[in-house]
Amino acid sequence: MSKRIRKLLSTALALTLLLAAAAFAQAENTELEPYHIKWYITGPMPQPGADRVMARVNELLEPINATLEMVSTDFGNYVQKMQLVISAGEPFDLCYTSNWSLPFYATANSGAFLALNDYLETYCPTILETLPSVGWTAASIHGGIYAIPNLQIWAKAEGFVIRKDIADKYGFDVSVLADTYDMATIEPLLAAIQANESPEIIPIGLCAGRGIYSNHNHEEIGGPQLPGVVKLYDDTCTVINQFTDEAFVYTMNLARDWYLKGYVVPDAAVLGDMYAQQKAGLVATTGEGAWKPGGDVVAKQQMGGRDIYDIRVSDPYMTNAMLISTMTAVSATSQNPERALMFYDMIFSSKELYNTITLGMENVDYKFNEDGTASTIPNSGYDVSTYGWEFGNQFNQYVMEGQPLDVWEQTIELNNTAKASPLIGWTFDPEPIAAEIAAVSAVTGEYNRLLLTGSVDPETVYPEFLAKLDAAGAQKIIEEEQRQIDAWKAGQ
Amino acid sequence: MKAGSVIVKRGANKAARVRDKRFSIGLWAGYTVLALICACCVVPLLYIVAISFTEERALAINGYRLIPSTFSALAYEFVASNPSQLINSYTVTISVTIIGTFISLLVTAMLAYAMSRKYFLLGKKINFAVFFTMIFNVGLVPWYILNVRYYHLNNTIFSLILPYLIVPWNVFLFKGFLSEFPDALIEAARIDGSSEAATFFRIVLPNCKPALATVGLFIAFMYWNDWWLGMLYIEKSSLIPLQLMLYRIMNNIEFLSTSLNTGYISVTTTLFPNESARMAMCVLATGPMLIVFPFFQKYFVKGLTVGAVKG
Repeated sequence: MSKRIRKLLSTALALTLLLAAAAFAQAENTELEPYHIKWYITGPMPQPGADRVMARVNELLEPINATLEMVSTDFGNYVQKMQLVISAGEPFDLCYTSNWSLPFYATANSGAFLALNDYLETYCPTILETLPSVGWTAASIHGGIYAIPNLQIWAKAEGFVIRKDIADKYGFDVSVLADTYDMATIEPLLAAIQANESPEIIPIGLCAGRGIYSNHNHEEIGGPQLPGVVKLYDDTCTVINQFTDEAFVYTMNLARDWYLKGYVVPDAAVLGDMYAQQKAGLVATTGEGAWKPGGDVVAKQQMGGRDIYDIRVSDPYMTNAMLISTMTAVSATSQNPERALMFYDMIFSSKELYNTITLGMENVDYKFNEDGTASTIPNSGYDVSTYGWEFGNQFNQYVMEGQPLDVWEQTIELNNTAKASPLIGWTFDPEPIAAEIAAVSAVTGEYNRLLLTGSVDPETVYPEFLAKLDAAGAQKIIEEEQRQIDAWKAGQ
Repeated sequence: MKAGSVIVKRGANKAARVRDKRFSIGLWAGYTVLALICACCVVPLLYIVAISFTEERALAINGYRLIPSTFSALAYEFVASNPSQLINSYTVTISVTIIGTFISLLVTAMLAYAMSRKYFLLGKKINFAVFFTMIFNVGLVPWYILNVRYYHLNNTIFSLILPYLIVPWNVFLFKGFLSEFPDALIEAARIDGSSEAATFFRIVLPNCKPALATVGLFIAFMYWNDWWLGMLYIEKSSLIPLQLMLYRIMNNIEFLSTSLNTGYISVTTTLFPNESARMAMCVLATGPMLIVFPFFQKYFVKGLTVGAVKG
């Protein structure tokens, strides 16, 4: 035997041994030690049917020999509860984290979460395959991945809702608004409603909580109440003050004009929402907050079941805030992070598991309709589908009655076409200028609702607003935001 | 019986005096002011009850009215759509309130009594210890760690009772009342050979009913209204107290409706309880206490002045 052949043979032998070892390891996998996974979530109150649903979930988890326990805390107290659990060093496996509840970057920096880089390839093949790479960018801190972004609608667009019966009655063509994104184009419709409908019909449901000023292709750095935005198409990431932006002035003047013409309710500035009026059928048109595929079903319910036009009034865009708005992290105190991740991968790979967690049991909590959609059975004792965005991959959810059959395909399409903000992977640290933020938020909180509902005269109040913003330290906030962005860009 | 007749007699005297001043302007002015204050307290409550029985559409069109324009009990159907949890939570809260009030009142009274005895050597030290916790506390995290890791209170009904057992303010309130207690009575008991325990239970306690009623009511309210301990320590749904359950419903509605506005997450249903359902929850949460309150009232007036006399 020549030396070369011997070498080849020994390599082959070594390989076989390796493969055998791998296969053996695989076989061992089925004999995993039993493990109890504890998962902290926020939102759904304890469901009376939770015990039987969890029993079913545990059946599904038999292949990885795990059992699941989900502990839920309401939105108001989740942060505090988790901070206690984390600082007490209690062992748990998974928890919900985001930009708005249990702040991701701060909590990860405190060392509460496990870096997942070494685990993902082995234990989360499905997640790696499914999740767009932009998600990992947002979940990384200095190269370490500290959470798994939940797959759901990541893109955002503004929406506007018009009651179909009213629009049709006056021959209003909604495509004008859909093409121009210009709110002023609905003025003729509002005028017609004002002139012809009974006085209790509100032409436009403008109120403090729901304006027509929409995000004009910019990312709001510290939320809508804080000055400082970066335009989506601006790769230099220059921070500007949106309250001096022409879009703000335009919206403000439009709202004033409509207010004077009586299209807006007189007490709009103090109304947080108009859900009750919408349900009662008193509101003809209203802003929608966020436009999304299947959102027309929600909007229709909100309008008391009346048919509506649901119009997208901005291009879809994607900001860092939206990417990290729902994530799941593995705790650094987890006794068995491998198993926790195997379980989380199953949520992505198994529709049955995902839907059992969110909808409950078939024919008890939900049932399939003839067209393939699912509908929940009222008062069955289990339904957390409202919170589906907390459980991994929302695109695994069965299409619900009333939703378009391709709702998830449409959502994925929207995610893929959305313009991504240049700030993805960066988040604002408000700590250094907390005092200015409090002062400025108080000013914007007071004036925004007045100016954007048209309740006051911009001629006199707008200069007053700008002066107070300056006095409260708006410029300092913008400078700090710019400084942090520059530092982040330099470090990249 | 004797005490009762004294009260009647006093009442009669008072009535006679009031009759003399029937046309006094000052008196009527006083009544008017009191009536206004009373109305400020009662009218909102009536509104809550009225709104909880009004149909949602009528609310949107007519606004809030004291007499529902369209009567509807739908709100209560919504809240009670999940009766097992509701009944469960009521049971938890009622038992916590009863057991908690009883034990807490007993411990508070005993502690206050010990502190108020001048011949008790450690009296001043204990006094200081209680007072100290009134100003400084250990902070949330160590407290939580102590209860969870060392006492293992989480997910037990004791976690809803024990942390509130002694509230310094209540102890001082009780002590204030006891400081007016005649020493002679206690000394007489001692001379007659009564033990400290017997003196406390047979002489002192029966004579401070107003203090017991007042402090007891404070404690009962505290236990009844608490959701904080439940939020921290309870993860089992069978032990969730009523207030926490209602608080969660409200809190989640508020969050979901605002998140619809910001659009960060996709919310798929809009099955929010409406205005009237929220009011129905309010009625369910406060109702039982409203019924209990009048039984304590006769002690309450006297009890309120407890400790207000002298330092």
